[in-house]
Amino acid sequence: MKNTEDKKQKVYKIVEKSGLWYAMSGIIVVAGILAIIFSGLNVGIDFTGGTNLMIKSDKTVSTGQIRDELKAMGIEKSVIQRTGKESENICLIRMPELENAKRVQLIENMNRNLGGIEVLEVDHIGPSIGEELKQQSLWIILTVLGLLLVYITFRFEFWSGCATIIALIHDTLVTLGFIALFGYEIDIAVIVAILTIMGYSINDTIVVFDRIRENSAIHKKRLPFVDIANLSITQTLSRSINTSFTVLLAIMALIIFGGATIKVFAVVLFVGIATGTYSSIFIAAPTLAAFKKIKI
Amino acid sequence: MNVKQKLKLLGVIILAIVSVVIVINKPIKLGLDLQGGSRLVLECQDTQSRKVDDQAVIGALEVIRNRIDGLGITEPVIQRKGQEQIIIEMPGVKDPERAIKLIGETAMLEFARADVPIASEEVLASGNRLTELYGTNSRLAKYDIYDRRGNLAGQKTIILKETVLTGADLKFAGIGYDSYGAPMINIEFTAEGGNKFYNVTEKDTGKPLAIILDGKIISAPNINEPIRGGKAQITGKFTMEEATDLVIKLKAGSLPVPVTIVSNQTIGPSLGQDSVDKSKIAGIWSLFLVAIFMIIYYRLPGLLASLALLLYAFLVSALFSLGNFTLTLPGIAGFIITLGMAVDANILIFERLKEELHSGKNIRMAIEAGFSRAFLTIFDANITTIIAVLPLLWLGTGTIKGFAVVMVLGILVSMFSAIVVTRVLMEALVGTELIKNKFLVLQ
Repeated sequence: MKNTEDKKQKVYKIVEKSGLWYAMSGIIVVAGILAIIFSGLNVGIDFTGGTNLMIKSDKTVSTGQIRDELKAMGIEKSVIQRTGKESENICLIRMPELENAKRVQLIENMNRNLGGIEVLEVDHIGPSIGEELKQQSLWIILTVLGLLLVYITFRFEFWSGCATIIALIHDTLVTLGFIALFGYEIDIAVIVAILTIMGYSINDTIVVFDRIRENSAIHKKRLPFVDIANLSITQTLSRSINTSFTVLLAIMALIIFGGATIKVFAVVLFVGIATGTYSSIFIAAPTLAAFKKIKI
Repeated sequence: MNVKQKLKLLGVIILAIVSVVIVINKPIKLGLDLQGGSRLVLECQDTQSRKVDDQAVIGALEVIRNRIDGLGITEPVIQRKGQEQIIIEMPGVKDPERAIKLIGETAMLEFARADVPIASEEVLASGNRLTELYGTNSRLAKYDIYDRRGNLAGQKTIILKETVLTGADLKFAGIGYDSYGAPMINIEFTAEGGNKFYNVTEKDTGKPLAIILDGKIISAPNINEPIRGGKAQITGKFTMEEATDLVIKLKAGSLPVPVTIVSNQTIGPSLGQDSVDKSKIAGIWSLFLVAIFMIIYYRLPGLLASLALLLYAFLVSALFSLGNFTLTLPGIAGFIITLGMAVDANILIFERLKEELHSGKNIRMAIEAGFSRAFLTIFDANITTIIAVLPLLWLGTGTIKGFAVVMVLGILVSMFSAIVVTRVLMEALVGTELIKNKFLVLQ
């Protein structure tokens, strides 16, 4: 068990090492941007429109055979992926928008030529709907950022609000970078994950800022802001880590046991919340300290 | 414990029992992605004769509603979206393709005067021969004919003239069987329709009458004699299913404007069931993992927090059930996330408690100070998550909405569980031997 007397004296010098923290995050964000530039952002049909078909075949069917069926219907571009267990013969087919009648025809053809086909899931999104969703998502993210800025300004003060928003943007960029690096598909679930991450990441930040406010009241005359910040971060460290830890535990259970449909969502959340905790400790307060220095 | 604390403890226990009872007895409504089903977005289209306006969309809604009723789907959702779109949700639909076909087809039924071509196609097609022979409204058309066993026997050419009756003139449509036992449609015209029918059959005796569905000739029987009484039969190559669907369409009326399907999300029931099963396991594991962590790190208070967490899980489930909300897969994920978040408030309180104890307060005062000082921080933290997630109620589909509902509900209840329930449990133990044991309480 930690000796609390020692802890009173040991204050982690976090703010002083700001450069290091920004650099670490910067590396991932840059890697992500490079990934986006070179391999493109994998945007799902929720936003681009298109048709996803998940089928289960009685017999083992090769992706080549499926591609031939698609070509026979005039579908040139498609991505075919095996998913699930080997023995289950489940395939996910992604293609540009296929109208209803043609899709029915395709399934009939496949049934005839490839043996019994069961359609597990159809996801057909027209391009106008995709465009609409894209607009809505962007608006919501901007609105939420704005609302959170207002709220933090209201509860603390404007510079705290700015520091928080910077931490949030950092979290979003790192999460997107991670998604780009691993080629995950950006669909509506990713937007949901980003919003959840934003809402949750602020929690830790508030805990730290709350403590900063408390310590400022006590130590203002004696200590410069940087020391107050360090003290606050040190004092709230176990709190920040533990609260995130429990959520990460719960998400871990989802990743391991939850099944393929929810897995990507859970992984994105995991990365985002872990990043959020990191940013609350290593980015938010140092940024606030930087603002204070500029102000003074 | 004083009386007030005893009552509060009793209250918590009753709440727990009630929640468990509700969860066991009232099933939770499952979303499309968990029970299987289809979600369609239809868009009304302009035609040459009609532009999409309010009337058209409302008319289409009505027709679609009747058709879905005809399918016997339980608890469908049929809603207008914006100016020209219609959202349809069909939970548990067994044959989504059939339903989609049924809903999407205009089902415009027309009875047109017709005639037998007296010359070959080429002759008729040249110049104005058609108009000379048959009048200005006439056009050439082909239709399929079938033999007795229902196989395609060939194509016949026919001259189509003006439409004299439509599906709107029908009073009744039902299934019947012809002399071969094949399904056919019995129809009866309205009084006015019946008169028109008599006039046509009298004028055109010996000529065919074309029956056209959505622009395709499905049948062209010869009129043998004038028909009074307005009753007739439509025979054609129908399977039982096709005949049934046609009757549903005729009864519901034809769509005032055509619709296209701009979005179709269909999930088969086996995939849904798989998700439900896996999520249950994930949920139990997450409860377990979080509880273990809390007990190891915070010991006795951690155990109490775990009990509060269990109550939380049942309470949220019960409220969700009572509120008739629909549970979706993202909703389950959200619930599992809130399990982890629910203890956050406890952690904040316990850390505060540690500090208060170190500053010298006795256990009772430390509990009081801990809970009240931490309250504002807990409130701030939870409100921001709600702010971030609330807009999702308006974005996207029902599956996403399900997530937002669970998160908001979960966060609100978790505040209650952490602040009220844990405190009640802790106060219940104050003064007992367990609390005095330094090992069991925080260092």
